[in-house]
Amino acid sequence: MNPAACDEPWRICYRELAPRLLLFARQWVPSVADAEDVVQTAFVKFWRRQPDARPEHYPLLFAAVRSTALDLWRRNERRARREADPSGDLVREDEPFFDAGLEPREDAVAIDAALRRLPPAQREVLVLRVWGGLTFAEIAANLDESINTVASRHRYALEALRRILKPYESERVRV
Amino acid sequence: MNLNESEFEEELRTLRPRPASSALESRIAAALGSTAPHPHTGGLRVRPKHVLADFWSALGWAGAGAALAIAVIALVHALELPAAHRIAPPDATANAPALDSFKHTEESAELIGAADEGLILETNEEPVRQVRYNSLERHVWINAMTGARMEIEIPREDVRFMPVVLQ
Repeated sequence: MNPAACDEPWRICYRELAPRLLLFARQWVPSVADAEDVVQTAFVKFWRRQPDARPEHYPLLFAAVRSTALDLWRRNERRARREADPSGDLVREDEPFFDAGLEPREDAVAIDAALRRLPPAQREVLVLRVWGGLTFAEIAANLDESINTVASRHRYALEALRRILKPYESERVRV
Repeated sequence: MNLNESEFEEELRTLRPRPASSALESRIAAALGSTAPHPHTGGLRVRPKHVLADFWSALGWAGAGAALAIAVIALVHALELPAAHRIAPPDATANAPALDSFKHTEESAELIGAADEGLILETNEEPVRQVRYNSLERHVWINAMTGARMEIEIPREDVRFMPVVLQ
């Protein structure tokens, strides 16, 4: 690859956002391979439509991923129903959400599991805010909700996550 | 855990999402191969916003698409009519034209742009934030008998006012 190709705007955007977009896609699409397909479709569609996109447009990529993921989910509704658990939570696959890295964190598994137990509406806001790096205004635009609704869901998600993680935390303190 | 909300959020943020597979970037590069950056500017182009111009341009394309779809329907209708006449039983309603066989199979709405147009402070009302959304509605009909596919894209522009709580 020549150096100019490395500096293409879409590549800079991809390197910054790919893991975050993938995590976001996985909130609806259980398989990592399917989630990568979703990211590819949304990313290509976005850059074809906006070849001059600038960083302030990047939050729209999350909307594109959401829309593509939901389209895929609707198309495979029967399969999704079979795989979904009774609470309607679509996140099922056991592949971890987070990178173990060189020094795996003890609480990463617990946070991963807790995240999967959150209601989908709260989880998507939390993922967009914490790991997507979006502001409440950008999330509201993505989800077509008011900023107040988005902020409330975020607060509920954090509270629920802390509640779920409390036993793990007590365990850690006892040890 | 005695962290406050923002400290807890920061702690969560230290976890890094799993990276995408190395093949994904290559797949995207291959798919975007035909849409290289603009040759005259050598990459990132910065242009002023022309929301209305974009809107009318999109509307024009949508109109052209609708006209094409109508032409396709008319063509399908014209091609199938003689056959229908040949095999039609005395009861004409038993063999309705293919036009009636188009089924609405897909409907989607994609957000393609959002612009925060700032706060509006009215004297007697609470402050609101004006946000302009541009989206594209897409409808697909498929004729199961002929396999003909008709797609229409409708650009939409919505302005929303969101209440803002000033602290």
